[in-house]
Amino acid sequence: MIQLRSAGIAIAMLLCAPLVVAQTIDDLSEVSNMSVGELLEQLPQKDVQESPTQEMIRLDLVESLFRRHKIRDASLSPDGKKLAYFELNDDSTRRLVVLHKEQRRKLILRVEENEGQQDIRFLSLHWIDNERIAYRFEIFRTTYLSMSTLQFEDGMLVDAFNKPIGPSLRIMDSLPEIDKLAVVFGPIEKNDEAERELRVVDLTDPFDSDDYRWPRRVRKMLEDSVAWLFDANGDVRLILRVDPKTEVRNTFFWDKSAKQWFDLGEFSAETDFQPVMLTPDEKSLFVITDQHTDYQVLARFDIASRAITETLYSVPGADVVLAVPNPDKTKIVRIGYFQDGVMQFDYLETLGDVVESTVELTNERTNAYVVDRSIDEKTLLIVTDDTDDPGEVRIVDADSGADYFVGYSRPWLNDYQLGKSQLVRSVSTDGEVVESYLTLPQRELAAAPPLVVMPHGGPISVTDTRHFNEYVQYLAVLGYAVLQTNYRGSFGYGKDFLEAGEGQWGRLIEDDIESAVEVVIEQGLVDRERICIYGASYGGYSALVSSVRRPDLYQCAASLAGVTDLILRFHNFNLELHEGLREALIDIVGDPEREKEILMEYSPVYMAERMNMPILLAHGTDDERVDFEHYSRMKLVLEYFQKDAEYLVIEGAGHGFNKISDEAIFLIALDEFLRKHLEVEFPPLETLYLADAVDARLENVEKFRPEPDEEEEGSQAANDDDAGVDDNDADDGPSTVIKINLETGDVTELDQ
Amino acid sequence: MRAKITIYVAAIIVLLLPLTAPAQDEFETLGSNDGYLVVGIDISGMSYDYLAIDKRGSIGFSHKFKSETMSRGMNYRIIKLPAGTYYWRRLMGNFRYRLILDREIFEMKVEPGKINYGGDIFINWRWGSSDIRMANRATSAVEYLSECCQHLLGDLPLVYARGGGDPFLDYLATLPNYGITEP
Repeated sequence: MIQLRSAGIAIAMLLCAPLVVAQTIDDLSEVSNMSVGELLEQLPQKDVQESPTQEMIRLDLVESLFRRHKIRDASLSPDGKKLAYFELNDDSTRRLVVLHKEQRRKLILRVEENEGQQDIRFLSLHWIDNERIAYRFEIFRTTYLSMSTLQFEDGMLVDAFNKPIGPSLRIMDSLPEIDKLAVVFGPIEKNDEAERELRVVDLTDPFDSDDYRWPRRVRKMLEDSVAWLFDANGDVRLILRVDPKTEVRNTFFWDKSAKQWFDLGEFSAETDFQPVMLTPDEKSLFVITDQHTDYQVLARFDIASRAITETLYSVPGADVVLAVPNPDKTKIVRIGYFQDGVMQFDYLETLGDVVESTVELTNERTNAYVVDRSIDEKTLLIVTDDTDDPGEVRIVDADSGADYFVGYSRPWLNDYQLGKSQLVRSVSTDGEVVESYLTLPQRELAAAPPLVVMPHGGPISVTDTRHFNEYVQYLAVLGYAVLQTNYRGSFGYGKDFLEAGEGQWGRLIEDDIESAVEVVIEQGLVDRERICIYGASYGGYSALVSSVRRPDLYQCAASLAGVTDLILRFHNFNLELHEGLREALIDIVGDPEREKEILMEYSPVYMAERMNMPILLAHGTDDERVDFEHYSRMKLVLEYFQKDAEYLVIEGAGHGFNKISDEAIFLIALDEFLRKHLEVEFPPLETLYLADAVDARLENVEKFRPEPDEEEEGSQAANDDDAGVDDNDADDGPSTVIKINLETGDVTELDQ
Repeated sequence: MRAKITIYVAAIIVLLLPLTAPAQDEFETLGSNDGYLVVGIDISGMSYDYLAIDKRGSIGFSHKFKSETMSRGMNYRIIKLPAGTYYWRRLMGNFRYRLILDREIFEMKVEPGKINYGGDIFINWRWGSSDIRMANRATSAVEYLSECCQHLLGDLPLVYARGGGDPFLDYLATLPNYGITEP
């Protein structure tokens, strides 16, 4: 699918992702390369001394939430008999495996292992046909494409051999219905200086695939294109070109019979137009668009007239966000949209019939999704995902109804008492109805829980959902209720709602958020005396602004990578390079020249004198989206006015975490900040874990016990002597070292 | 003998002063059409010969920041210039390598009688590709000026020399006892 507008959930998650932090600027040099174990030693000494167990518990929780998944990137073979996926090993490396469903055999094709000086790291996999799996991996910052060919004896899967294909190659379409062939992007020539190009190649002999070379006229147009759509034969039929200066997007259709390109016209960056497939008669496209409606719909675009001629699928009150064609690209089989914060799939054509007949899928698992299927649509790959369900993977046979459990995505999270979400609707100051999600701690509480209000980033085209969210669960497990509001500007509620958020920084957006807070207070779901607001990026901005707007509502505010100066947003180098981006930002924030006073009025740096609640200010030094200067300015004025504020910085972090140690530093600091100002006691262990998992969990927690250094050990021993503590108890120290893979953020346990 | 040593030491200190921080005298010679340009230059990657700014409409004017006078990391420089529009023109590597930066986004406007902060330029010059970008890090520049030449901040208004201006600098000047002159 050609993605013409940044509206996907992946982008939303990216923008929402909270970011970085550390101690103070002076501590920065050591932070970025720390392992969790080293990090523990670097934490403020008072914490280690006062409550080391809390640190260990939180580190274990962070690792559980953010470590690599046990099962990842599962994909069915075209015949549906085999499942390929990446599986986590005990040492936190991964292996590429193939599971033969009928033969109950699992074959390890390759493992992430040390080659030279560095571990390889798997990136993606694709079935090329029923016997071949192409997979990409990274080593020394270069990606490689290799292929595993399965070996059978008397029909039994017995072995496989791996063969390298080439560096920097990427599969763009695996063409599962055509043996050996795939559309590949990269340097596809034998010489070392080959230019990257897009081609259909025979992956068993990729550098001698001239038989599949496209006409010169096609190849010429591809040179400046940025996205492509292929037909079932692998021929490129649609390309997107973007003018780097104006951001104007032109889409061209390749008329195969006339052997010429057909200009479908210009689409501005504001226009939503996502081609999904070419109809079999090649006279129209199926596209996701909101050109002629408020909400995104699946529509027919007539190529000859260059116009939308028919709405094919729409959902009242929701944007269609996904439309998936069948493998031969002749029909749409799956439509996706959000309803009440949950992704819904509507299955069409034969797939719809198959799903209807699968009782367990439709009746018992509301958040179960068919994410892959065999060519004949008789075998379905199903994953689950819910607020309190990090996911499981199953294969369902449509004919027999057999349900084959492959495994949990993150089985260790089954140990925790995860929070469960509920839908909240509120009416904002101007009558706009706003949707929010309240996640409550699962355990029974004597009193209403403290609340953390967590506005998402953006503010435009981002959305929160009721799917599993690591940051929400971190807080919920530790005893907080968490409220996420899809304020105006959020994605998924139509064009009008999206545009209603423009220019509303610190105004109607915050009205929306506060309306939701008031509803959950009125319903008695949270403790109205213990509420803080925390967010990242726009969410950080919102937290800072809210500290001035509603000191009656919030007891503290935490900002991570927050925007603090709206005019400074326009001093971004990338923005200065691209005029189109600047214009888009003016729409979202306001005009820094014509509306200078308004932008200043709603910038936190000019409000510091009125910030009369505890503030946590955190930022990464290498943030290219919200420059570190936003942090510096806010800190300067908060210090000038001698406000109650804590400052956290991490060296080398950008506008999001990419290391588990950074996650740990920030989230531990956040919990301490919230706990202190909301006066919340650390929850007892039996309320963190499920009853039958406490022992196993505590065993894992032990690996985070800090290793005392010799001096401390001597001092500790002396103290123990003084206290009359049994020496045997004092010697029962841990013998485990934790290593963080800096590339992946993964934690590895090392034997000493 | 002791007096002689004292004189020598004093002389050495005087000679060294221009190498460490701008001397106060240097800033008192601002002509009626002159302004100060403050720039931050962050250096990483391959070594180079010099980085130059030129003046728009003035053929032959070029101010070179020699790499031998700067260290890795951030370097702040204050130079007196006639009012006008300046721009980062080129990065000259050793021997035949050079990078032409002549684009509007590298421009800085120097106003007379003011301290004109031209932003920070970050240079990471590598084989094959280079990363050059600019950022408004005014708080770092203010911190630098406060340490090296508070008298300048007390005497002359500080303005942002790149597109659109920066009201935050004006705001800092309104804060009582902060030490920045109001524009």
